Amino acid sequence: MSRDLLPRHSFVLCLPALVTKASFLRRAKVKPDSYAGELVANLHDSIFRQSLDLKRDYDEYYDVEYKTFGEYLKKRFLFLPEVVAKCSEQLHRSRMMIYFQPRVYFLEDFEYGCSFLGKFLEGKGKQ
Amino acid sequence: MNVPEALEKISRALGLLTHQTSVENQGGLFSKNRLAEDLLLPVFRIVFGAPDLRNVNQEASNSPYIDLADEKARLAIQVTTERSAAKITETLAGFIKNGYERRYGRLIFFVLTGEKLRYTESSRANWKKVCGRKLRFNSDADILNTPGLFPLIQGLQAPEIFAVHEILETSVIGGRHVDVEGYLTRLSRRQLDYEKTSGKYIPDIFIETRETKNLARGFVHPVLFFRRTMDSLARLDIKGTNAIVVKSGLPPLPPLDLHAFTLPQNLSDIEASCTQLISRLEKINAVFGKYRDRKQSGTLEVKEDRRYYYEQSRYIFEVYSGFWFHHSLGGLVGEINAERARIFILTGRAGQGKTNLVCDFVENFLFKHEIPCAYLTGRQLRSMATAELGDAIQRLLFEGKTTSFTEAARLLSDHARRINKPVVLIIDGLNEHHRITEFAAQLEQFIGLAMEHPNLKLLLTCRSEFFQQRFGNLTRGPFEKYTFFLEANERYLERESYDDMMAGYFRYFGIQRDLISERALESLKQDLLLLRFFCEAYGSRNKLAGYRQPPIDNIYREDIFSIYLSRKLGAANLFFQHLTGGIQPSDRATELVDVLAVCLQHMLANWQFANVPISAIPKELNTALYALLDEEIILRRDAPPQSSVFAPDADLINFTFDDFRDFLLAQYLVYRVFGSDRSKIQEYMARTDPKDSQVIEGLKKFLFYASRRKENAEFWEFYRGHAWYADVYDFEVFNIDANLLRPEDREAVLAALKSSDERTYALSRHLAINWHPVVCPVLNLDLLLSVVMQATDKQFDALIRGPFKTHDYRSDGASASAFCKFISEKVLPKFTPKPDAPENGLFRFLILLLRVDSGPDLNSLSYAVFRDLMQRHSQYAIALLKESLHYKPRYHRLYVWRLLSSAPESPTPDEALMIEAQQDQTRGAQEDPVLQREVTRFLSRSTVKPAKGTS
Repeated sequence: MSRDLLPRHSFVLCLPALVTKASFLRRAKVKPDSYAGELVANLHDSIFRQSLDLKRDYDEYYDVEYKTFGEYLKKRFLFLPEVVAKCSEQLHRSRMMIYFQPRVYFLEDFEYGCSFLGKFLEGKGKQ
Repeated sequence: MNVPEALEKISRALGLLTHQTSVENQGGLFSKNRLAEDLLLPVFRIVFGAPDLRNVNQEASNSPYIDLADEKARLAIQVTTERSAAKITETLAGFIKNGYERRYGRLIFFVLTGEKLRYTESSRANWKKVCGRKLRFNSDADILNTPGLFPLIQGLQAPEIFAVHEILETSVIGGRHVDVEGYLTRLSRRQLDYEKTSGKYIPDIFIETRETKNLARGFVHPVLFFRRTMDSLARLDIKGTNAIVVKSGLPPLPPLDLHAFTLPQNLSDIEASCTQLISRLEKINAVFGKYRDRKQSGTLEVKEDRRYYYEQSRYIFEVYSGFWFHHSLGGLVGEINAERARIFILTGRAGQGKTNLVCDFVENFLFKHEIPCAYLTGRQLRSMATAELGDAIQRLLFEGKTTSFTEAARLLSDHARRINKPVVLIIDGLNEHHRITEFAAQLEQFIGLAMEHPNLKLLLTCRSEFFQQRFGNLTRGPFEKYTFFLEANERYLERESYDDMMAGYFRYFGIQRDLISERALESLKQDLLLLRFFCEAYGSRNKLAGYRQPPIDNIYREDIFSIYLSRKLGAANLFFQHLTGGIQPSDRATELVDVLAVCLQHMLANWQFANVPISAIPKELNTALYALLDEEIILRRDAPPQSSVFAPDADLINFTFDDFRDFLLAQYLVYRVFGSDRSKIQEYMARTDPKDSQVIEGLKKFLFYASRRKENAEFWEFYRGHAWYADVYDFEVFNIDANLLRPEDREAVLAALKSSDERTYALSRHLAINWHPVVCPVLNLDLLLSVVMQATDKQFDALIRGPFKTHDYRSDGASASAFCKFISEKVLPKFTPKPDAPENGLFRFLILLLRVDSGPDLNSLSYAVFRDLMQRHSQYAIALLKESLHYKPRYHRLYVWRLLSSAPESPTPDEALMIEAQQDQTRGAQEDPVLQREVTRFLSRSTVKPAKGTS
């Protein structure tokens, strides 16, 4: 996705709305107080609380400096041109664009990560 | 001045304000916001007895319907250009709906107009109805226009009238007004234009250095970017991390409640907020510093009943939390330090793009965010003939409107406070001042003075090598608390960035890319300073009409420097003629060369390659010297180190670029000294002082280049026997024009390759890079192959396996994988097999590379690329594979059998091939089971029967 510090896959999740923790757990079919529930809740936190919402970041801090969202992605995060194009295309359709850099190893496989996150975000996640 | 005089002036000022607001359409200096902030706020404080009146528009919390407010005086004011009754009704309704009447007992409308305000009775009745009992609104007293202010001022006491007069006098309508932003913007624009014209700032080539720019953003716009730092901190999840720490039996982290921190709304609150936060964060980070240190892991106090958990989570502490958290938190502490700093010092090596970064920052950040800034340079300041730097700066900033730096600084500081953004003074290239030592002392004094004025910030850049020695005091002693120091060492990691940057350079200088070979382009990407020299030498910019760029196949440093020198001497000559009034003949260029010769001669005679005293240049050459010093294109003037009061005081001269100096020294030795006194050169070459190693390395290289020119055959005979020549031969022989190579070179390299000593490593790589037999007719890949094909297995290792092994973290363009990529992307798509195709050698080489990066499964990139060749040109590839079975080394054979087994078209029945297979099968059975397996597979798929009599 980008050539950042970590040589791992990262994801830009383009979402029309926030997915609440309760519905995230429900989609994952896990009980809130179980061990699996804790893992999934942690994943939810790492997406929605600990990751950067690019759209908000651009609107609040960088829209004066960079003419377009694409320019911001390219210059601030060194995203590849095809990723910049895809994100720019999604800009007006998404309420949030979360730059998610997973710290769990099972998401490191790109194909698996895409399908896993897509399922949990109810098919609304885009790579 | 007495009261009537003051009132008279106030009346005139208000008249002017009325006029300006009606003709200027509420823009620029007379915008509503500007007037409210700069003029009305201080006047209203006095007129309405509301000393705490403030501009609520500058606060993050949104307060619609009011612009100025004072809770203590219970007063709110709306400043508006809209006078309609509907607007007043709407504002009153909104004011009450938001419950503002509980905080403010009075709401005043100040309408920016000179026209009389008339409202109908029904409107007034409507307002009463809207306000009800909640707000006492008297439309006669509470709706004011500009002329309506005067009677209120008239009713004030004398000291208050004088105070209003003083405010109006220095405001936008006063005689003493200085349009701070206007002056600063004009100055910075002029400087940016100059940097663009002189080619120092080329917007097209600017590649953002993310971390440096990020820190600079926080420095110049702390109110906005402190908020972003807080956002980043919130995402770090300190609370969650603390939970793991406690669960692991470790003491809880020092407490940090981010919600308890109020975000600073004003510039003046930044320092306190940053200081408080940094002290907390540093405490937390100190804990993680301990956790990431494996040596300390045995000494940590872990609760015994949680030790099992700690032991299982150690990896998390040492790697994830220890490293990642510590690193991230450290980065944020850096951001906060930059936000609170008053001085930001950016240093970096020459040619790293500091000026480009600063110019881009001014143009695309400071201007866009309307942060007032003055962009000055060391070059600009050196031409100011004043004893004090502050004095020079105030003159540059306000063009005589101020009389001292203190006055200028007060203006800047007040302006910054009003707009809630700092004023940034930039001095780019501290090292470019001629009298550096003197300048450094002046700068310290100036900074001391500037720091007395809040809201003034300084952004300084300097070349690294000059900084510590000349300006190091700025990071120590009394300056330390103000300074944020950053050595710019970010590298551009992305290939696309280099491509973008090179494309920008080429556009700017008018270089035709299609006339430059791929390998020349690759060389330029490795050395940005050389890229700049190259563009100036070959680009069409500033060249005569009709100039045509020659095709460039390789980068020859000596050629580039020669062209660069002649161009720069031409530019200096023009300046020289300008200095001498243009009446002298244009061949004054000889005097310029004489200056250079004197400098070089002085350096050689004293064996000191820096700091030539300016007194060494004869007086009659002084004008020529100044022409060369202008713009520092060749020479630079420096101040002497003041180690003692008795030390000589004369200025010193240095060459701007060390590499260029070494080139000139070599030229001087070959063309001026060698003919007259070659013993002198012998004497120089006998010197071995390690402190001179850098200049000696440069000299060796440029003397080598010069010796290889045909016209310098005599010098070549002299130099080739010397150790200096041999020292650089293996590397530099590949950096000269292939037409200058001699048959002796081929013999020398061949002998070195056969010796299999340590020289073979570099030579093999150079020969492989020079693969094209037509472009490189003497030293090329074919020469390497001729040796390898006859080599023993041990020699094969020295010639192929060692030099071309791919290392994950060293992408140097000469590894097996780099060759494979090159063949696959650049050669294969266009290749047509022919007996004399220049690419034949590359594919033979590819077979030899099969072994180099191979894993136990025999796969490698070379294997995949050769399979691609087989898919495209099967018969050709099979012929090469068969041929390779006659090479003396044997390592590649098992790959050859595997490739032959999987060929899309079976090899033509060939008895000789079968004999080779049979022999390898036997050998494999005895020595190498993998070879046996591969050859057996080949034989099982082959339709040709083994020849009789073979075993």
